[in-house]
Amino acid sequence: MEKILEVNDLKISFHTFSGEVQAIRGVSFDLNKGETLAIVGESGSGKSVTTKSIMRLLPEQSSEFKSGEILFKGKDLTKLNDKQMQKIRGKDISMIFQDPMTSLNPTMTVGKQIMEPIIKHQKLSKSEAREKAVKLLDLVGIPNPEIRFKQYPHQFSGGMRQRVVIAIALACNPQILIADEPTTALDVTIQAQILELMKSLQKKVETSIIFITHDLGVVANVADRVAVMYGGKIIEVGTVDEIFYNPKHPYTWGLISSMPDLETEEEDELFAIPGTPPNLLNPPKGDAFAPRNQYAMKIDLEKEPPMFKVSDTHYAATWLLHPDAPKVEPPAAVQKRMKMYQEQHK
Amino acid sequence: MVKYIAQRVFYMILTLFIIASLTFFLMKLIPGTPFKMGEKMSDAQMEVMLEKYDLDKPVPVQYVSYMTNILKGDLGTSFQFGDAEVSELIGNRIGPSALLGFQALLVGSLIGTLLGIIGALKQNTWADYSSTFVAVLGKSIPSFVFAGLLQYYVGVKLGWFPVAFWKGPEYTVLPTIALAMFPIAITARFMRTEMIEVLSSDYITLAKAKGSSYFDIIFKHALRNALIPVITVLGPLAVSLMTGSLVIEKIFSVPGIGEQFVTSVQVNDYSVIMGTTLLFAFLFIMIILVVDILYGLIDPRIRLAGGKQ
Repeated sequence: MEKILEVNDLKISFHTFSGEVQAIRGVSFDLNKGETLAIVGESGSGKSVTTKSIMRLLPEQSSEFKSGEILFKGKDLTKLNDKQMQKIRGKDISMIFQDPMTSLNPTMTVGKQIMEPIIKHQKLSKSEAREKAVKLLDLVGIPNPEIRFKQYPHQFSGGMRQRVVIAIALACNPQILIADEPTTALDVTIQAQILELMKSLQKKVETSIIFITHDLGVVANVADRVAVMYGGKIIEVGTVDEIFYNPKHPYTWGLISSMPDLETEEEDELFAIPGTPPNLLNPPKGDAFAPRNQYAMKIDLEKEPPMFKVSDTHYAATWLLHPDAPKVEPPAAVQKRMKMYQEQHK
Repeated sequence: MVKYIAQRVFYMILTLFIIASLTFFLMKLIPGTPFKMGEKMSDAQMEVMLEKYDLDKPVPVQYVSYMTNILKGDLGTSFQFGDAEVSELIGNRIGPSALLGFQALLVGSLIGTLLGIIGALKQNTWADYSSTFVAVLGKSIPSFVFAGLLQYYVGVKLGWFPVAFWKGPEYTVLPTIALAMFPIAITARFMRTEMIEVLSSDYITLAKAKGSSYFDIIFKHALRNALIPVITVLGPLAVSLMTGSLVIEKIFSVPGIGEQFVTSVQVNDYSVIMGTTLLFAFLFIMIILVVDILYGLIDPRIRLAGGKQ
């Protein structure tokens, strides 16, 4: 498979009044052509920062790029100047944001907002761009595109606005689409519609998608591969089957068991991972998850675990995978889930 | 839209009526008569004069007759300028004041907007600090100080522009600059705050993600959104600028309305006070209407609330 994006040992910090917050502490992953990679993790784990840094959209004054490389088709995006970066944004890599209610300019017609990247990147005339924008509105399932073209964002509902944002993102047939929790702000029915739309459009324009979410249900629905982030690092990565059927990291176990499903009874108590995420102002010395991990060993508090290989596509950063580690089975809830998924899959 | 405008016009007339009535009765509370100043009159002479101008009648009667005259378009005659028509007096004087005010507003809001944008973009750099410095100067130093400095350095020492009087466009330059300092300061501060707010909003990030250039992001996306609150402050400021500044008009010997208004209050020149107040009120109401229309042009969300469709 052809690698389209390669992120190597990315480190990013934010400068705040209390000091340097190490938001991303060495993230590496790659994205293949045409696949959907889901990045999951709780708030503050660094999902959005990672993807924003690919687009170089982090606030320049407060954020600092410490080290690493972001290779887009072999070209290091961190070395480009502003002008070169502008040519990549919206054309080769584009982005969908979390809140459709605020991500469109309230004082510009929807049509103009879609035409902007088309005129800028494809050098089309106004009338050609207009035609294309109307087609895009139609493509993302907005009825009466001719009329809607001239309207302002406040005349659209939340789901419709997210469709417009998707139309903007797809305007120039990008090779990578970054979707930063695109369905979090929408209600469940609209969520399903947007996911279906993204999947069908991905087939049409052959885009690779990085999908950020904290909703494992969405992950199972859209992703080919999954990267689990915790405390500014990727702690487990694998195909969607590997992550759901054979998770290895205790944090992934926690995530899976804290997800309700159709068989969850009302009186069942939903599992919650105890404790709070690490403070990245002073990142812990060992495994960042160790203080919340009931399987933590002494070494977890002292030394960071490297990525252990489970299969060619499956890696996890936990000392439990070390040959000398005691054999630990995932908790019963997770085993039950794993079994259930496998049965559903058959 | 027609219905909306008709409604607005009705309320404008109502407002003017209320302002006229209030001013009339408040004015009558000022002690004295238009004739006390200057010449000495005997009581008998005074009575004759009061009778001549109907000032001996009870106040409500005077009110009714004044309001009837206004409806006929007659603002009455002045007491201090030998029976000159008030409408003519004001008409001759409002021109220079309005022109100066308009120029100051234009210069002030343009320069202020630029300074504000620079401040927001170069936040916490020397450019931002100097724009803040200019704004603080403009807001804290009274316009007559600028007027004096401009007259001395630009007018006398450099000799670029005439120091005083009102004989042509070049005579408006120095008073305009002196008047513009305040709007520059106000616009710059508001613009900076709004710009910073707007530039951190999601749709600006999206615009960046589209690959828009910095120029497009600022002038196509951010500026229009940042303008809305700025227009709100500029409205009332426009009125106070266009109705003339006593001090600036005195210093530059501009035959404006500000000076005339102050003298007429001092000498109880009832009809001029009323006429000028009505004119100011009218200007104010018009500017509010213009501001509301501008809102609609800038922000489509407000346009709908106006009753279109």
